[in-house]
Amino acid sequence: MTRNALGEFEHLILLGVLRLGDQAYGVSIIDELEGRTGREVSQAATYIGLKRLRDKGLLASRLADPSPERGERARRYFTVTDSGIERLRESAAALFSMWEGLDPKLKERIG
Amino acid sequence: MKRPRPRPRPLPVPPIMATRILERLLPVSEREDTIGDLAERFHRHRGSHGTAAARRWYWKQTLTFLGQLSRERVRKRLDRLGAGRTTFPGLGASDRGITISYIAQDVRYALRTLSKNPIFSLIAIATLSLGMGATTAVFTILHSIVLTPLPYHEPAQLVRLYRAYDDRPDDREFVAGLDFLDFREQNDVFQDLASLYTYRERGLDLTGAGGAKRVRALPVSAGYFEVFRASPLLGRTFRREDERPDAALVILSYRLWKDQTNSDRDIVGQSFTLNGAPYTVVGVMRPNFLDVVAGEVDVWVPENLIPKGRNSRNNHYLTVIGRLQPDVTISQAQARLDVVTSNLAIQFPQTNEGAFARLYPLFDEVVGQTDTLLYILMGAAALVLLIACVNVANLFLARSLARRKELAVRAALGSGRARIAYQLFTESLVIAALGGAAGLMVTVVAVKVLLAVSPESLARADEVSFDPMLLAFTASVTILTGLFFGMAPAIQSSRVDLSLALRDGMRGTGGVRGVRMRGALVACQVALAMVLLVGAGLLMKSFAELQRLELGVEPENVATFEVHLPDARYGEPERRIQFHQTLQDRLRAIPGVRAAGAISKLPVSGQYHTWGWRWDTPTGPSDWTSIQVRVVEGEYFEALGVDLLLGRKFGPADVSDGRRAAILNESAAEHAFPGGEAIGRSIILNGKPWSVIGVVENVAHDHRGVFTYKMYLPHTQFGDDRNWALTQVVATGTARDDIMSIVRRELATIDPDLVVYNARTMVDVMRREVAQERFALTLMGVFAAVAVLLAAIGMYGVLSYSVSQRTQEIGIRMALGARSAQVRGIVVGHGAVLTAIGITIGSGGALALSRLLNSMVFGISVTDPTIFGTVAAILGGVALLAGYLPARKATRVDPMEALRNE
Repeated sequence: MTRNALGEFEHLILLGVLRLGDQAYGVSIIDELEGRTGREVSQAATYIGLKRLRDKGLLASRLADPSPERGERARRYFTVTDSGIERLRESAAALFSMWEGLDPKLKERIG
Repeated sequence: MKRPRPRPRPLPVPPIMATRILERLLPVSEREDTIGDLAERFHRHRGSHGTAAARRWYWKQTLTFLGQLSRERVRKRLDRLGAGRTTFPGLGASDRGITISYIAQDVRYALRTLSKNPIFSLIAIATLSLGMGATTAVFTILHSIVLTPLPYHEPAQLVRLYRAYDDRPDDREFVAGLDFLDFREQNDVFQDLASLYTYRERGLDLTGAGGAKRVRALPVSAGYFEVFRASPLLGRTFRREDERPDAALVILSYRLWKDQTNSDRDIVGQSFTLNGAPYTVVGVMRPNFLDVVAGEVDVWVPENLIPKGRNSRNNHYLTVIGRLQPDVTISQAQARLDVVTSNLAIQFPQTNEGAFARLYPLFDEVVGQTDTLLYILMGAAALVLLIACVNVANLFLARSLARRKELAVRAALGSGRARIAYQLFTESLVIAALGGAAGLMVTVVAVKVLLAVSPESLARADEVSFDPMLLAFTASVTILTGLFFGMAPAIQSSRVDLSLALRDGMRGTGGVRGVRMRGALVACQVALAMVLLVGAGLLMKSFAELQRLELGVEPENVATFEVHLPDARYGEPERRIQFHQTLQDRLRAIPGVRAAGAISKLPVSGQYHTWGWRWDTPTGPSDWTSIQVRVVEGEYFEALGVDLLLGRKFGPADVSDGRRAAILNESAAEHAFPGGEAIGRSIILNGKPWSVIGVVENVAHDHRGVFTYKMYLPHTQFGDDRNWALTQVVATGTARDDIMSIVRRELATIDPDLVVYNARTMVDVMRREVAQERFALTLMGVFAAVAVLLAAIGMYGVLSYSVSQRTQEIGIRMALGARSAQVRGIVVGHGAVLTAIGITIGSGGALALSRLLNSMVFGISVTDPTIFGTVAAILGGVALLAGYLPARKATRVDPMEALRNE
């Protein structure tokens, strides 16, 4: 069962794809992740993450757009499936409920 | 039917080998888009970081894929099998599922045993990575520079042509313009034959917004780019009808085109101002065009080959290169050329008698000077690799011997021999993989460091690229060593009598044979380290000799720089002479400046203008002899501390219409006019008589203190020969950091459009000449240090192991009254014997191999006994140190404890 849980990185990818709308493909997803999280993201990790999400049915994909600077190779665009959205909702709800009321405690620690 | 469309310009592609790896790695369904993503990011990376960095980045990504995908696969298999599954190792492995579970189990077991034994694991990984990393780095550079042919189409067809003489066939003189034309006309062995201007005086001033900029201009003949099979990005290359002095055509380098015209694709046919005159752009070269002969060039202009003026058969100034016909060998071409040159010798006996044209492969030419150095370094790297292998062998041997008991237990519980072997194999493989990964990092860093510290004189250094095949090679060598030594004894041990092996007293020692074998390996390491240390020592001492060498100049507190005068404004010799005098007057007026002058080529930076001269002897004129000619201006001799021995220096009297004056160096004066008779004598040079007015001391023309005949002529009298690109020298009384900014200010007041070019201190100029030696020395030093470190690790390993094996014996001895010092003596003595054997063998090896260094060392003997002695002492000291820790441990043995175990 644990294997079906959403990892942190997979979670981030899912959100990234959602943000990019119809422009989500390998390179733009990495850019989005790096730009927003500020950490370096390896293409291999992203590839594996995307594959796992597809295997779990949370992402769908289609091929398009070969171009010369890609060595005439196609792009794969990703979209979040309905069950992906559902999963994100669940985890957001879980996270929010865990966060609820914690702000003062965090401030205490800093203070 | 496909509509023909213009082919897009080929882009640099990602490393092909890496792409192949990715193609094998990725499932077909995801291959295209994933590799496409990488390619897209590669091009973006290339735009911001350059092609080389992008290639490295791409490799890094590929290797990450390799690692992550393998991990992902293992993870999936484990998932499928269920993490908690247990299998009994003794069961037959008939079903595939069980075999896979064995692998997973073995890997986990291996990781567990390795992490339980962190010192062993770390030492093994460090050894593997150091050995592999250092070796691969040097092999990479060697491979890129020496073993890889020139980066051109059919490089074996490329040749260089020199003028040589029947009595001096190894001379490599440049070629006269008219001779070149004859070679080209009467050629049937070359596809293309081309010439380029040899001397560096040809620079051009590019004046535009932001001030004047000096660019490097290379005059070349038609066919020059065709020899390299290089086509222009835009426009065309030069044709034969362009080879005239008033052509005013120019081909731009990609870099200049990008920087100066903002990549203007319509530049061809437009006018470009160089030296204040309009030049018509006929072409732009591609970014990847690399000129290995001339180096970095900004613009190419047509060589003037009109048969008059400087183009005589007497003026040898052209560098000639050619491409042979496909089926013509170099000796066939040589034979054909010999016919042409012997005809020329008959037609023009005055100039061509006894001269011929000699062909050399261009490859030898370009690599020539660096290959000895690199082969020596490669040998040193191979020794390091060998030491690393020996160390790995030693470690694995020790480990497998120590585990005999464990293996015997497993055998007793029913584990098959194959199963045990498989387990050991997996363990070795895990270590090898970790070591390999660390080795890869070491390699990448080491290549970077090597290139950073490598001298500019290391030809083609910018072509170095990382070759994964090399890493694969060194990795397999070290890993196979580990596997062989790790498994062979272990497999054998699984055959031993189990009841014997399991007895308590049997401490899993390897027996006498194992200890001896390990001792022999350590002695081997010491011997190899000795060879490397001797090599490093010899280079170090030789370098010190070079530094001490008297070169005849005083380089401290001397600034040098060049100012190139555009022909458009300084076409008249008088104007150039006037300029130099004004500049030097101003420089001299700067407070603190001791002397200011100029010369056509700085000393200690190589030979340059080699001209013929003759003089009168009591029996008539002498033969023509070659002499190095230097044009000087102002207080050149004072500035560099070159002392006058006889006569006087150039002065205000030596004006352009006065009596032509020359100064000889000591050896030229002694050669022509022995007995100090040179002053006032007449010599012939450049078709004119010159009167010797002075003799100065010899100054070396290279960093090894070699000097030849040299003649100095005053710029005031010889400034009309050409637009000399004089190098200015300014000597100050004390060190001055601000001197160059003052120089720039003074220059701007004379002519604001002129620029200071190539500003360096004289000390830097000379340091650059020893850069190659310094590089070799640094590398050998690193290799030697790694070797000593590895040998020390090996020694420590063997001694501490033997102490642990001999605990009982030591305990008994101590119980019987042996003192700590005696116990220490036993352990250290063991190390000393091994070291002595190693040093003896190593001395023999070093003696045999040091002869290879003959051409690399200067001023010392390669069998220098002080170096051999010092090295032996260092190794002895290290061995003592490596033995001390185990020895101390031995003295802490508690006799009671040791005996109780019995």
